[in-house]
Amino acid sequence: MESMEADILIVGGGAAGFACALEAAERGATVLVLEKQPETGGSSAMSGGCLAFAGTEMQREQGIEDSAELLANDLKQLGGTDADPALIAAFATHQLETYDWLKAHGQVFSPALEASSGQSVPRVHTVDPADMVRLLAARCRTTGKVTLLVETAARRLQHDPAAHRVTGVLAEGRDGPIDIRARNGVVLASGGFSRNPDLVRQFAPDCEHAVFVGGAGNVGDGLRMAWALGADLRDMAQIKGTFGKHPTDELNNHSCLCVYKGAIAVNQDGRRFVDESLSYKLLGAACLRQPYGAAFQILDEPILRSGDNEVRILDFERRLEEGLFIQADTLEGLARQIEVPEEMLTKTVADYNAYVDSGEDREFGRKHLVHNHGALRRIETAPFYAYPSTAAVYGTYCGLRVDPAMHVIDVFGERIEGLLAAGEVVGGFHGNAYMTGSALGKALVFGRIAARTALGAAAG
Amino acid sequence: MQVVVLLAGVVDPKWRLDRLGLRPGTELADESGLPRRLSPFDEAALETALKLRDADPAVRVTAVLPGDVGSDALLRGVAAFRPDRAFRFDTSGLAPWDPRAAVRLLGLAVGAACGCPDLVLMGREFGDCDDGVLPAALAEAQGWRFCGLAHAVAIADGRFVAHRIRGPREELLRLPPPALVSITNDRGNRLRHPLMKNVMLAKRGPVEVVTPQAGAIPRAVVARSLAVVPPPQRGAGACRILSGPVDAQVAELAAYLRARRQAAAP
Ligand SMILES: Cc1cc2nc3c(=O)[nH]c(=O)nc-3n(C[C@H](O)[C@H](O)[C@H](O)COP(=O)(O)OP(=O)(O)OC[C@H]3O[C@@H](n4cnc5c(N)ncnc54)[C@H](O)[C@@H]3O)c2cc1C
Repeated sequence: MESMEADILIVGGGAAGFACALEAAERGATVLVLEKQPETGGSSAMSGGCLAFAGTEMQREQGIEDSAELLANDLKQLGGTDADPALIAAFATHQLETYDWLKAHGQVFSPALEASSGQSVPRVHTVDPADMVRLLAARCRTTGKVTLLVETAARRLQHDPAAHRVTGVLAEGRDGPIDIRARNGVVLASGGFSRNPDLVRQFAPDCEHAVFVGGAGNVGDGLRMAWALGADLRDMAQIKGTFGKHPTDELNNHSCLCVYKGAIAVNQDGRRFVDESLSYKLLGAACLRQPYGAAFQILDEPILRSGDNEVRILDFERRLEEGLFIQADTLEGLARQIEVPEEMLTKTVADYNAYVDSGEDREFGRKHLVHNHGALRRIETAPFYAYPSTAAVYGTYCGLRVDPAMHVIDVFGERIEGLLAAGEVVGGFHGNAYMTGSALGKALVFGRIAARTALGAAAG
Repeated sequence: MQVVVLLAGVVDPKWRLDRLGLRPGTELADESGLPRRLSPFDEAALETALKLRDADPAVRVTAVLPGDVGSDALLRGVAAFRPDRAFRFDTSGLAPWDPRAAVRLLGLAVGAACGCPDLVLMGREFGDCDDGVLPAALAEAQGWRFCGLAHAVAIADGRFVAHRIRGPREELLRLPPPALVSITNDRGNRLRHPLMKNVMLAKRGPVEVVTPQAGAIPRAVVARSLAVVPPPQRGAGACRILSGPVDAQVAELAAYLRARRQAAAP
């Protein structure tokens, strides 16, 4: 059998894997990255490219007051008791330096900042996600210390039971099995398992009718390899679909969140069913409970025009051009097209407009456009639009229990030495709900922390 | 006003065709197990029919999908657009490369939809093996007026106004019923999305099947075999698709361009 050796072995060539690899290589380590697909990128490259950073120079330049504390508070409020405060603190402490690190490596951000799911202030920093992964991979190459093996899947972790220590992996490459030793540790950056229907069914039976979108290799390999060694799991009950995916359009993977610009969500009966400012994971769960598991976002012309073409989840104009919005000059006409009772839709909108005027949503208690941000607006200026929406599982946002240094922890609360994890394979960070940009953010921030831990470097 | 839309369906091009051959003992391509979808031209024809009904509720749209049981999932997909009626015309014997037989069969299919249609719509290439001859041949055989390659149809004063672009010219053809118009795809007739509610109801609802009388259709062409033929080798300088890992492709392309520059240098 072929054998190889490196200081650090990384399983998965997405954002977490390459952030970890680059950080480790910059610190002088030799790194081996395994990617089972022919192409790198995983879900990271397909993503919306939204990153949640707080206190950045971009925010300062645009007069947005944000801080690591406010970010941590938002994450705690969203995650509830299931989110591990130590992981939130690790993210909040290291996110800003990761933003600066990305910029220093030449990452370009689009100029507009937006507030999205779970954010009290605009803190969505948008990148071209595929370009970002390519940039990190290219920077890894120029260090001369990172070897990437594509079409090479990690199959099993090599484990010394006496020391409860992971020593490497058994991988399957193009030319057969490879025995790989990792002197300083193995980092699982293999993403989630949104493309593994059996695991999804096991942990999230409620998502049966959701749409599943994610990297083709994201079937939970890393999760299962660590699980086999007794790794503890976190947030497994928190898998939810993200609201805003067009239920029948197959061309566009991303959700569209008109609600965060002022739209309301109504079900097939023409009734609202939720406070639309909540995290889109909670909106997704509420939507799947509606008749036919689907809903419509209802908006008017000014709300449609307030979209942001630079941010995929807020790019309303493109969806309009693609014919995904249903449009009418009157609410009655819109109701007829979406086959919702006319009187009910007009009453729902009239009631909602009255709540906006009085400052009190008596039905669902909506106060803001999104989370704690933005004043509500009336839906009143023709033409009116409906965006058909269901929930899509873009990521599993749950997985291995890690400590803030990214060591994988077993079911008895002990470290599995030599085993670290980063990115979507990690659980315990998001908890009950979800903030836009925190998954890709977590991949980068935790990937870098894992590299530093493996090399025994100080966290800072 | 009776509008019949004939939908062919094609094998979903998203899936790899691993095998191609005749179903044993038949003259039909073995497409069993391969998902089918509407071609862009089918979609444009269906959308044109739905638009006519949107404009005039008196229009009654019947969608007809010739095919065997393998087409039932697609028929449910069509039913989700809520035509007034949608049925599969069971053509366990239709060979699309036999235009004469196909024309006979499609005539029967329209007849099963309604006695005298005012307008028959179909994609400019019905199915994918007939080079667009079927619509014209069907109109000729039935004695209907014909317009090919239209991208929009409206109704004005009891006539159909077909809109098409021929080279630099825009044409408006006024056709009294009965007429057959073949539709080409265009931004303006991109098929709408069905409502989720109707997708789910159509999944649960019954499928209507109309079976033509056995032996009604004589064959003109007999298919004996069907096989994949590799494309002919292209000559030097013709295009070639790069394959392999992206890095290797980039390196190969860069080397090629460098060599070209060197060769071109004085
Ligand atoms: C459509 C979409 C939009 C999204 N939008 C956003 C967004 O805007 N903001 C945000 O924060 N999050 C978003 N997410 C979620 C986010 O993209 C992911 O959570 C994040 O990118 C995960 O990064 P990762 O590096 O952990 O995993 P990935 O990027 O998925 O990388 C994991 C890699 O590991 C490989 N792999 C798996 N198993 C093995 C094995 N055994 N051996 C070798 N390799 C293996 C996979 O093939 C894959 O390439 C989105 C997700 C999707 C699908």
